[in-house]
Amino acid sequence: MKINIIGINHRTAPIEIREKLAFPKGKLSEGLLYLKKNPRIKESVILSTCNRVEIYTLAEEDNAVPESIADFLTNFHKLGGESFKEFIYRLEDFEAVRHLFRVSSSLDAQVLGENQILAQVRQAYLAAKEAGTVSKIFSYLFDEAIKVGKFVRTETQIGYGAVSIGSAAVELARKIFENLQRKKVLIIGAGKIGELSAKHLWDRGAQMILVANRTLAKAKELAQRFEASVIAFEKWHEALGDVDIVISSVNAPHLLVTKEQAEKIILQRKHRPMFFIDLGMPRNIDPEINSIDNIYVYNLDDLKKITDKNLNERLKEAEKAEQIIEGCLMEVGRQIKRLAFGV
Amino acid sequence: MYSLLFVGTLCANFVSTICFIIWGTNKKNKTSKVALFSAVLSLVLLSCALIARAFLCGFPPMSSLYESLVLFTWAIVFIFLVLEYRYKFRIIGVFVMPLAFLILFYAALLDNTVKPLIPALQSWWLVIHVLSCFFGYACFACAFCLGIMFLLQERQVKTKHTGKIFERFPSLGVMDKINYDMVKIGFVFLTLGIITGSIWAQHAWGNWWSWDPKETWSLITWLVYAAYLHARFNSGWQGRKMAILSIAGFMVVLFTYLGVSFLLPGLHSYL
Repeated sequence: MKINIIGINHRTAPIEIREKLAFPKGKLSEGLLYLKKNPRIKESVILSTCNRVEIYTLAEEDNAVPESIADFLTNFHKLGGESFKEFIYRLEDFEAVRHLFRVSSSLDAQVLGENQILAQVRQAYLAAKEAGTVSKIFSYLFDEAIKVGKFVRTETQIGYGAVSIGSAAVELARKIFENLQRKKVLIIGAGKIGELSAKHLWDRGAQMILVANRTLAKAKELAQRFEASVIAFEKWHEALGDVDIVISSVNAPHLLVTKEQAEKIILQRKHRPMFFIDLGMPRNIDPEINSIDNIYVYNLDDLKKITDKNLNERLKEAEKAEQIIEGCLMEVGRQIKRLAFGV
Repeated sequence: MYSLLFVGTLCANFVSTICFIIWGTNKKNKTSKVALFSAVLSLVLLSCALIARAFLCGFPPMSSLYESLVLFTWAIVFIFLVLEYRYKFRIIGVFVMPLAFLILFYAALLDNTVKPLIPALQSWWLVIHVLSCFFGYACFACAFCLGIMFLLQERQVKTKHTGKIFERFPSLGVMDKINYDMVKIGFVFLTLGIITGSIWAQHAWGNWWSWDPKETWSLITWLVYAAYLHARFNSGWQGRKMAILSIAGFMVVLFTYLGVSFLLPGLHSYL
């Protein structure tokens, strides 16, 4: 008996390939049933996320088996004669178990420590259970993988700190305001990162009220997404006194808000705190504004510094996580042998 | 019996202080539970101690500096636990519990012999006066801790060095709001304390207000916090300036409470 992994992930294959080979919800059980039909495969699980497609199997010790699974992975989607062999990796036994544990602990993730993978592993396992393709060994193995993933998440700080610009901006907003419910946000200029930051704020209950953009169509598109209203680009200054958070990403040679203006605004709004997220290059907001009481200004570089620092922290935590995994591999290996051979 | 309870309180307070400080660095949930449990324990023990002493004196224990410090500690721990219960604001314990411990420790160094009040002074007005004052002071003590925490957190956000404090402390908005709440409540108690004190003075000394240093300084304290509330109400000041004012306010409280007793003798000279 041998545990095999045949798969592709974000390191070995570009997104276009991963998309082609993925098993969306509807196809998953079909794929599992196909594997079930193969008499040499005893147990199997398909883990398909946007960063990886991996087929876990427990099968007879025979080199033909991994070959046939690799063929299955490429042929299942009926993509004609295309070969994906160069993208596919293959792991077995001890290495395979270690890999699964690293995946469930989010060590193999594209964004180190991201927290969705554990749920995805669990879903893949439950789907396989439902399709009847797991039995005692994979039940044990995946239960352990989920346990280890949880343990790593609680015992290390692998998931701590924002590592994207958008989430860093939200984390700051949450440390500035009492809460984000009904906070008013003004978006000036429609940039990709600005939109992502806005989405994070929106998810936390902030109210998108105003979008100002030079091209109206783009502004309307953004506004629709956040149930916001559009204001004419020339008029966004008037709204400034009334908003709590400003996200600006405008390509302009001059500053949009000067210190003098900001001093007036803060008096006008009776010192209620304000947060400027300046994503413009060159900068849109005078950085000196940050020295005014109750106004906080962060630009792209400031946010990047935070995400870099947090990522570094996560890398340190990842070392602890690797040790946790190494620590339990031996015992898991022994237990699997016991289950497989009844020793 | 009383000294046993007192020593128990001191120990519980100490354990709580140490655990809060450790929790401040290690973030283990268990540590904070032990810290919180010992804080509750210290409040219970201290309550029992105060009751035991009341039976010993035949009157609520509030007639010496020692007794007032014990009462002050009791009020601070009580307000802290209310904050924790009401806002789940446990991290303030890292500042409040050490403060409470220091005060209690100072009390432990003082003469604790029971000196009953002369019957002429024993009045329920005195009880209300003292309790109001110390509840007020305890609220101001919490506002003081919140002010310090606010300034530390604000520095993190302003300088863009988001470290441990940034992660552990609540948002600036939350601290500012609770600081405001604490000053509001403290102000009500202080006002009540001054009024009832004045009534008691009329009973005891036949004079509503005699510009005794303690009275004068209470009035100054009252004015400082009145200024704080005025700045908030009328000009909408918030944040950093309010934090600084609440810290300054507590300095005045300390002077009124301790400084006046040692430096400017008067009718209140015992406390």
